[in-house]
Amino acid sequence: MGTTTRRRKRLAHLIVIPILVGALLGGVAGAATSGWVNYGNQLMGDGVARRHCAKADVINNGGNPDFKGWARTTTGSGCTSSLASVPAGYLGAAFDAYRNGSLCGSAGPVFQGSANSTFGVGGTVCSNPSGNQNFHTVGRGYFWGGSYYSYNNHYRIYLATSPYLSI
Amino acid sequence: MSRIKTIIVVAALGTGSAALGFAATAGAQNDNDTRGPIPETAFESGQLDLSQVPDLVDVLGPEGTSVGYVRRDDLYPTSPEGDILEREPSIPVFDGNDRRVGDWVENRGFVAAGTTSSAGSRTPTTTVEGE
Repeated sequence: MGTTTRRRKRLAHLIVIPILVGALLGGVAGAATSGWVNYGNQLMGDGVARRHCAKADVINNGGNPDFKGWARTTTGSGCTSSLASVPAGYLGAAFDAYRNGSLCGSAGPVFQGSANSTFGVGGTVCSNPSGNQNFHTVGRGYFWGGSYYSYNNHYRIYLATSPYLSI
Repeated sequence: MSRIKTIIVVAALGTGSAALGFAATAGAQNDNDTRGPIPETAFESGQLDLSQVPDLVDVLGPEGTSVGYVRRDDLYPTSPEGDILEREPSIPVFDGNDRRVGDWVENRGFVAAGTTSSAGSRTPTTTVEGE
């Protein structure tokens, strides 16, 4: 009877301990992303229409939230293929960081320094007190519209929001 | 005499209007304003649902505690057509009694009234270019 009880306890440990370790590791690692949000084709400053895409991420960086906002241009129907390089200064990015829905940090806008299709800005801008906190990013993508757009000194701005990341 | 009365009345009205105008500017909040953190559901679609964002959004200071509110329309201004507009690099932060307690400064966060914006630590950021 005693032997059976010990076996059951050992079996329980074998099952429970890996679950606890996995849960702990799962809480430390992780990321939450909006994925690329497709805002459609728009004319840019050079007169070429390209697809405008924005993205927001929050990533667990060693127990602290790392927030990122992104902008991307493509010539395809979506945001993940046919990436379209645009001249320096055509793309910019910024983000707002939220902890449990309260504004805790922001950065940008910063504008690309060389020609490419994708540009992002990130930073670890919020504290993470003890206990579980839910973090969100609101990313702002900037797209140069030149004479084809009249607001914001000619930059179109599109938002993307990440789901929450609990750290 | 009647001309003098007219001048006095016009001047009084002018002063009153100016005072009302000032009150409208300084009075950033009203009783119907919603306030607090942005609810989880406003983030869920991948595009911020501004209709769910409170009129006054809760702001955390450097210590990680609530220090006041910024107006949604200052944080995410929109054009009449609904386009997102660039916000000012510094927007006012009010307490619950509508007193301005500081500013939200881009790349720095909350800067309390009476301190210079350069006093706060600058937000460390990285940029990623590629593809």
